[in-house]
Amino acid sequence: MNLFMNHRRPTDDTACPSPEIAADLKAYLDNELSLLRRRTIASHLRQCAACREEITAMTTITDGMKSADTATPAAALDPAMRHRLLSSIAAETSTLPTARTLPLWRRKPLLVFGGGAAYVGVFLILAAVLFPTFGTSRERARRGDTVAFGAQSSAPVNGNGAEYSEDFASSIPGSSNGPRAALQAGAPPLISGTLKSALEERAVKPSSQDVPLGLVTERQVHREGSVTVSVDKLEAASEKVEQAVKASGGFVASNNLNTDGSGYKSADLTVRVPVAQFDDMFKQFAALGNVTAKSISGEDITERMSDATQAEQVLRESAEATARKLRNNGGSEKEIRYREADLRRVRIELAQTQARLGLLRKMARLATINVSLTEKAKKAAETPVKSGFLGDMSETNRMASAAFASAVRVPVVLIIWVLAFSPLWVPMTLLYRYASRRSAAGTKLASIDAP
Amino acid sequence: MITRMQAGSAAAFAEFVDAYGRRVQSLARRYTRTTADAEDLTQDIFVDICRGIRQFRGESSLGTWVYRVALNHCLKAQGRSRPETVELEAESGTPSEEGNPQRHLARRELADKVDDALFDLTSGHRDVVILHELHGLTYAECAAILGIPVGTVKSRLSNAFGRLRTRLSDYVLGSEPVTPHPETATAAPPTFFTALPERAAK
Repeated sequence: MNLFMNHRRPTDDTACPSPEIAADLKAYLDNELSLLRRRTIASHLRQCAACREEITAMTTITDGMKSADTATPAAALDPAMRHRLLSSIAAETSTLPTARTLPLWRRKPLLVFGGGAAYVGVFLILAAVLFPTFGTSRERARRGDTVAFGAQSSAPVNGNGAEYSEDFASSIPGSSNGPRAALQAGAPPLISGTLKSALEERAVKPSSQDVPLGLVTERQVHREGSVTVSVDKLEAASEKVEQAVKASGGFVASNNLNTDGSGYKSADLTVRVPVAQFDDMFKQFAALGNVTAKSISGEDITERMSDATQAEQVLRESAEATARKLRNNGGSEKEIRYREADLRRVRIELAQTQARLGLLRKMARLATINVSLTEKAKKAAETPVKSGFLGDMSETNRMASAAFASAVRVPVVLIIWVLAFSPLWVPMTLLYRYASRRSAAGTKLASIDAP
Repeated sequence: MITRMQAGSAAAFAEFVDAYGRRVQSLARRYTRTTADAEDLTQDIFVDICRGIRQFRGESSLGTWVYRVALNHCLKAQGRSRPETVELEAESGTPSEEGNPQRHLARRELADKVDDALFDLTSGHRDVVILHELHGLTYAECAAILGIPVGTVKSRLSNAFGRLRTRLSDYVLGSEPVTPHPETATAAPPTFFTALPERAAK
């Protein structure tokens, strides 16, 4: 008798009403469902006979197919077939290029490129560790180039005035004498070789335009600096700055004191001090507190002063000659007017040149320092931070207290609001009570009067 | 093993043939007419795998990749003709069946029915049934080999079994006894399942 004769296909009347369940029965049988879905199906199977029959039928078909499969995959390969496959593979591999003929970077690209990158990285790290002076020497060379550039651009006569860096100024003893004086004094301790050679070249080969320099024998440098100092007491520091400037023979050009919204004070002072006192004053200002920023620059005004001096001399001689001609030689009226106009123009130019020369001399005599004083931030009272269990408990206690205070604050605020509006609600309440009593009294009287 | 195969190791290829040879041959047999065609196709598949093993990047498992290559070859070979009934002389039964011709005939008959039923399925449904039911691959592996979502594998299997049930109902589930093949008709019970008393008892 056929074992499966009783397995009838469910009719429409007995079919499972849930197509979703029916669609998952095969996956349930193959254990390919999630745990939740599997439990749902299992619960359904306990109640649905049609699905149970479907499961049985599926199992039967699966068993039947596996039993009928004469070429089962799990069986061993026929030895003849195995030999045939291996022979064909051997013949195929003999025609293919062996893996060893490929370059290493194609066979192991990750190993080659990754290893190469790691090697370069390790080399750079070792180079940085073993040769720490490499960067320093480069920095020094760069600084030397900068100084040399500054020296070249500050040609004594031909240049138009150059900015000296602090290194340049500080590297020359008696900086007001200029680099040439320093060279002549034979004291180039901090001047780089590049600068030294450049200056020596200029000293050996003076140009023809160096000759008029005799009018201004010393190099004139206008120096400017700015320093920002953080101080404890701003007024006292500002007072110290003013006293120091006055003691040095300079003056305070401006002094601005400001207070920001958070109460911090700051002061900006512009002071002018004698050039000879510049370095000392700068050190004094820096000693007032913590220096947060500073800069120093120098401008060579020797050429401008020389030009102005020469122009003044030429204009003075021209004015004197014109005036002499006017006095000695009358000439025609037209010539006289022309010479008078010329004399007027020359005198105007002479006055302008003298004013410019005076300004340059003043610049060469006085250096400018901008001093910015800022008050140090006052440290807030630091509460000791505890760590560990006690710290956690302390923090919890603090947070709970804050929460309690917030909770208490709400009714207090509400009470304050109620009290603030009491002029409104108190009379209204009294009026309401009065009206209520009147109404109650009227009702009572009416009930008494009623028959 | 993959690395050694990519390096051209003969031992690795022998190991590989031992591991996948029978599976590939079994799969090829499902898509070819005769056993000889299946063997030729298996040989082509392994040669192709041998050529392409260096392009294998390990993005999927080796088994999935092998099945994918094999299935591509099988689908190409499938267009030639439908598989015929396997020759009796070519298929030898298991040793336990050699002394039981009734049982062997019943198995043969069921195999024919299953082959016919599988052939009536669409290509997509048949591939899923073969890979999952006959080769024991999981839904995820079937999905990776066929390049379809797992949900599609699940629905295809469910639909395929619905059709198989209809197709095999006369034989497996029908009320009437299955008539054995005229050439193989003997006094033995007509169906494979009735030829397996131990299975019936189970």
